[in-house]
Amino acid sequence: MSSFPKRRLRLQFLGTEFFRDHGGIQNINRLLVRAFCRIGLRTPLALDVFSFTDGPEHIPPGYPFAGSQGAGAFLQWHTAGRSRPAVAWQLADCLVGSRPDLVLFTHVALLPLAELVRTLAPGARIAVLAHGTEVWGPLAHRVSRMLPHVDSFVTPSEFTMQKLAAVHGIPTEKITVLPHGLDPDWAGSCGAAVQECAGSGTGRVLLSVTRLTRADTAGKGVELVLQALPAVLERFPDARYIVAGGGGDLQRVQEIVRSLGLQNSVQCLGPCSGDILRRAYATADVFVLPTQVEGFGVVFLEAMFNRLPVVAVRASATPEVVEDGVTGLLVAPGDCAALASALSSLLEDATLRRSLADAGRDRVERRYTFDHFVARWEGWLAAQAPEAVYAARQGEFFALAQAAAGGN
Amino acid sequence: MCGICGWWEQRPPAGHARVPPQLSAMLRQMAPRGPDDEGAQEFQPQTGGVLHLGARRLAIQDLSAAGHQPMHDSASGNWLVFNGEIFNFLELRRELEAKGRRFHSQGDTEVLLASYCEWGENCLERLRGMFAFALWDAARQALLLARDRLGIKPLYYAASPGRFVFASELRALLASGLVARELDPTGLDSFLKFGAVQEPITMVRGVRLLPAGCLLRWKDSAFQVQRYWDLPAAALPLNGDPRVRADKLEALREELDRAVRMRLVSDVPLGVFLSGGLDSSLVAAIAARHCSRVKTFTVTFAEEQFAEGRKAQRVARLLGTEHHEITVSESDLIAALPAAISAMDQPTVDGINTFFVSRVTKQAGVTVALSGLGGDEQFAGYRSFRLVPRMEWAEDHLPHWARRAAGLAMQPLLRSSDRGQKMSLWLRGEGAFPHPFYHSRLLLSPTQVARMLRPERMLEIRFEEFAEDMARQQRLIARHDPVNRVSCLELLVYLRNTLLRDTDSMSMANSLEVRVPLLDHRVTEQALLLPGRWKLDDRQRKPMLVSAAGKSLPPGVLQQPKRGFEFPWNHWLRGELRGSVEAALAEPGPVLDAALHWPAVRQIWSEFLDGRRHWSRVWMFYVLREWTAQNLAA
Repeated sequence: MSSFPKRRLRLQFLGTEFFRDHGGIQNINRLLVRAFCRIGLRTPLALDVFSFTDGPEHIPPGYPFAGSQGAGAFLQWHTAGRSRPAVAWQLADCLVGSRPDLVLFTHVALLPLAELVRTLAPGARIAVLAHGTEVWGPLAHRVSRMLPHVDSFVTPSEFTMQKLAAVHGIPTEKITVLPHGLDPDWAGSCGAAVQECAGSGTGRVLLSVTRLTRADTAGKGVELVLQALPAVLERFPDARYIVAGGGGDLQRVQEIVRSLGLQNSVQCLGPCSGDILRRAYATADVFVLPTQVEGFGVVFLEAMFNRLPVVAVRASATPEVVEDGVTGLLVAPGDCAALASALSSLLEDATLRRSLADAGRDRVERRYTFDHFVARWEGWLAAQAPEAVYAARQGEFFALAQAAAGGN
Repeated sequence: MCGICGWWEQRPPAGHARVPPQLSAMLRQMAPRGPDDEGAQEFQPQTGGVLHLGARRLAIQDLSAAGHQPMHDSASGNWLVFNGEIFNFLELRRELEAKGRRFHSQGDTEVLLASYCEWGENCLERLRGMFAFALWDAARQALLLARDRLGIKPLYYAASPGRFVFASELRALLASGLVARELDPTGLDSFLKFGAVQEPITMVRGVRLLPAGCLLRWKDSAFQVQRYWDLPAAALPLNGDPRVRADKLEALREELDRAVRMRLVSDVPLGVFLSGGLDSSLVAAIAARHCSRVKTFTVTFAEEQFAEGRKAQRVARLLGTEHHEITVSESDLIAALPAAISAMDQPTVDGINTFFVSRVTKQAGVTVALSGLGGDEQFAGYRSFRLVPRMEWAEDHLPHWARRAAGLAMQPLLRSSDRGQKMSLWLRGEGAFPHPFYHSRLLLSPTQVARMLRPERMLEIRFEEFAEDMARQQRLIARHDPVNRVSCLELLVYLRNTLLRDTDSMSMANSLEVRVPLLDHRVTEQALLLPGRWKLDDRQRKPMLVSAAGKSLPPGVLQQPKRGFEFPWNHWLRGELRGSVEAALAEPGPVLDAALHWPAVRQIWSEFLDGRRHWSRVWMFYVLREWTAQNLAA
């Protein structure tokens, strides 16, 4: 007896960039690919990933299935190479050929392509991931005109959800908050770095991890830390402040350090490899980033996972990740004195540091691991395309049942 | 007939003789199954922990205290709790006596215990009847659970680290407090699709129904399930030779006669359910041949348009039985409906009719009743026997695209009825069931279920568990012809999970034992060994059964059209029942709220009122709502 071909959940995933540069959005894009591939092991998927910046040479061979033979059969990368129109053409071809159940745009900047989806795959649901700042203000007309055609918005924080609703008039029932999670590889290798660096800390090391571009530096609050540092050094002269992260603004930051006469107390590491970053986390005693522009703040998760108490500000999505008084201390935005006071109190009180650090690690393990991230996205997929997810999951096993009868 | 239960826990013995409250609660829950006696026994397995066995007894054979359970065999040290009837127990007893075994009672329980002592697990092959039992093997320090071949008697179990618990009723396990009152999304999915949960899945997380024809060996905290019987794998390669056919018919006739005769043995009053249809009339006719004064019972409706009492009256008159006709009105039904729903061990779209028939039969002074259940499944009585082979043909000969195109083209036409929607679903290839039969028994399509389930519950469904049983079914039917394939699947899917389970819970709630002679396994084996083409005839329904019945049945009975024994729900749900059903469906309650998008259910109710939905699609949610409210916790 013949049967219909096995049903798969057909998902197309459009990203600006995955590997070519390093930053929060790229990290989340890669993490999402990994999450979908994990989901694909339970819910049969046909996953097409389109990158509009990476070339084929940027995608590590077999990613993300290196060492896991055959598991990547359902994943197809489409990269721009030298031509964005070429990848748009591939997208059009895929939309017609595979009739996706869902098309996920991982950045609003790509939304003009939704017109193509509506035309070529009218049955597909359109979803967009809004990371943070890019949707807090007005959008270009070519983007905003597509917003009414989006079926589902995903944001990592309540804060961004409220912005979407308030600034763009998106109905909240169309928005789902799916907090980010930790990269499992990163989390897995932190333990070794902690072991390696154990004992090297003096109990006086402050750490910020952030990209230092002109756009980011002010918002992320590195300057504010530098301004607060002299007051901290008055009480703890041997304290050190490490800034991990590169970018075009690195030189300007170094100049500020010199102008404040903090060269002996501040170390700018520049662009960091994963190993250096892990060692920095392992060496530090307090994580500080008084950012006012966080759509979520994966960096806080990394710090909490590494058992670092966090000092940050009550602004944007930070309070959703860092629990004031439980996993860190939050101060008012721009309040230099309060920041210095919070840092000093932590450097002074080892018991408080330990208690916040333990609570932070616990919070990450309970809510923000990769498994949690996968489960949240899996639930979201099931809500977006219930019939396709159900059919794919059921069909997988019914096909086995049919095979058991020798195809009868 | 009884209710049995047991509980092993990795803990030190209590040090007093009192029955632990967990076991008492299970026994109390099963009191209607066994109003005549109660017993409990505690053991300490050498491997550790404490094991309790318990039983409630409905005395049918050997009404004396000698039939008390748990029953002990002093020579072996074995203990037994047993629910059901071994109909060939006299034959087995004689065989055992010839081997020197002495008996202290007149019933079948002691024979079962002695059979195990004599033949071990192989005794299962010799048993002819309906049974579920638990036997403590003292020598092996192992517990054996077993269930009859066709799944007439249930046996539920739950295993967790340091604990193993079993009972005849799912709700007994819940009553014990040893099992969390938690909805199993896999069970819910199964119920929504088929109107009854497909074994071994249940509505409660962590609880399993021991599959029919299987035994479970538990020892030292671990257990394994093994099948000891299955339906025949293929019909005999018979040609159309009239002599061969006549021989086979004669053999079937003898087996039917033996099956009914064996089930007439009882020390308490016995009757026959008689609807006037072919199956029940055949059972009544054979019973009347062997008993001088058979009592027959028919339930009929006060509403004239639904009454079919005259048909049964005529059969009873022709057979010369003592006939009892019990008339049920709408108000009778509404008054007793809460009791009927409370009697459901698991939610079911069917079963209410069995509850009322059982209740009125019991009230008429009968404790054992024979039913014609199984005739339609084994002798091609359903519409599915004509429809499903055609669907099979279409799957074999039409390409996917052609079926899909036909489904899409006909969708507007088919959308207006449930049956049409199922056909459209099948044509479009949704559902992906490994055999078209499953479409024929669907209440809600997978698409409808997917839309209705909350995503987090949907992701918890263990399709592999259902598919595992389905794979077994597919292997089993692979070598059968199209008609017998349907027969096997009707037995394994609908009869086992809906009809037999409902019959057990609804009759036992009324302390009535129902015996199903057409489901004697020898009859089943014979029926499935006959070629499917012998079972269909354009002029006669169930021709094999008619031929096997010979002259036992008056000609008028044979010509009567197929009429399900069905209450006029469509009428009632729009009448007196409307208020209570509408109120129940207004909100889901905490358990279902966490599992289903309830507006979809209210939509089904509206569609029913508009005449676009069969009553069963509404009734299933009413039952589900009531059952979860009574038995589960959020």
